[in-house]
Amino acid sequence: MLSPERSNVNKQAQDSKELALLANVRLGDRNAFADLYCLYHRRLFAFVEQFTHDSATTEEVVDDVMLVVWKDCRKFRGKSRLSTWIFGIAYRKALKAVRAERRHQEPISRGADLADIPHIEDTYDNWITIALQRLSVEHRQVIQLTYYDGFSYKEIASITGCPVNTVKTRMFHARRLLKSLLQEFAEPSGDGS
Amino acid sequence: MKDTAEILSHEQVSALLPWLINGSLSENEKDALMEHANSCLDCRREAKQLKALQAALSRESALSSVPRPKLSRMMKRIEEYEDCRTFNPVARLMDYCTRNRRSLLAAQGVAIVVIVALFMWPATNEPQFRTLTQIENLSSGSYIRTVFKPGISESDLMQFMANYDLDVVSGPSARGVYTLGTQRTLSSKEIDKLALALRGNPEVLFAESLHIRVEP
Repeated sequence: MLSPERSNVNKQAQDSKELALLANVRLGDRNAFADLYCLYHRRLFAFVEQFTHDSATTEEVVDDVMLVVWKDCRKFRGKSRLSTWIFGIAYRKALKAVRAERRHQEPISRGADLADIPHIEDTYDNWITIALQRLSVEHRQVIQLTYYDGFSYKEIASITGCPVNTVKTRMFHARRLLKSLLQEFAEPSGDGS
Repeated sequence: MKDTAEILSHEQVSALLPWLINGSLSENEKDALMEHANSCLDCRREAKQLKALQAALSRESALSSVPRPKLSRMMKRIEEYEDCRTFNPVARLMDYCTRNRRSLLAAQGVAIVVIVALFMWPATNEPQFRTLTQIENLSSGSYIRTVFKPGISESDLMQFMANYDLDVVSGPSARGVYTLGTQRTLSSKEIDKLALALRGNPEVLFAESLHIRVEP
């Protein structure tokens, strides 16, 4: 895993690359836009899918987001990182899509047991996957934006339109829940607890 | 920006640890954290666990199945948008407006009128407001929607949860609403009684029970 310092250097290099692409997008360069689309597709897909739980809808929302980037590229003033701006668009589009479809995909119920889930190997990584699925959307979001996407808490506040303290509080509860779920998974079955 | 690192409490440091691990803290914040962590075994232990979590999440992300980007479909949408803009006189006019400040202000004025008109539009089947009991991604069960007094500390909140044997299922939402649940098997009436008891607590501004039955 990269040290925070090296991670910051990589982040700055990535930001510069993206800003250069955006500068060309502003001139109507479709190749630059295609590069930006490919750079963001995976991250946006993973982020939006938490809301929609449906691949087809997610693809549509991701494309909607990038269409906004194309249309409104001149509106980005550089006050935040480009990724913060794009993820903010993605957050609002995803919420809109979920409200429009009124789809309530049920997460794995809290009562579900590891034994109910077939073919899952008893490893820490798999427990993490299952534990994440049990979190609420807000809690999963803050975990995803922090650990997968590397945003600061201020950037997450900007993306989700929440106060900074709300972001910290959600992370606090998400960590507690993850910890208690992982402890639950780690306990041997049938111990009567 | 301050030159000297401020002194952070244990709670504040603990809250910032995930962003220390992902490398996004400012220099001042990092210095303040390390100042505390050097003498706090709990924080160092927690940081180690969070690093392991980050590593596991990175592996999980690498393995998760995200479809390949459908670039041709995206570029087709761009083309359609551009064609529409080129041949559509209204779209061309709007495009002109965005390039001129005075015209942009005029367009904003029109948008405000439209938004006001939309609010005055006859009600549809969609709810015009969100209630605190609106169902959001919750599985079947009974919950209590709670709003706490502003400024309640996290340690007080945790003590509160422990006193009532409750867990945070979701929240806080943008409006500060928590959804609380319990591992105990309680009937709907018992949950209603518990919500009533919470309302009597001075730390609670609002508490209402919520019962969800999702059809299979």
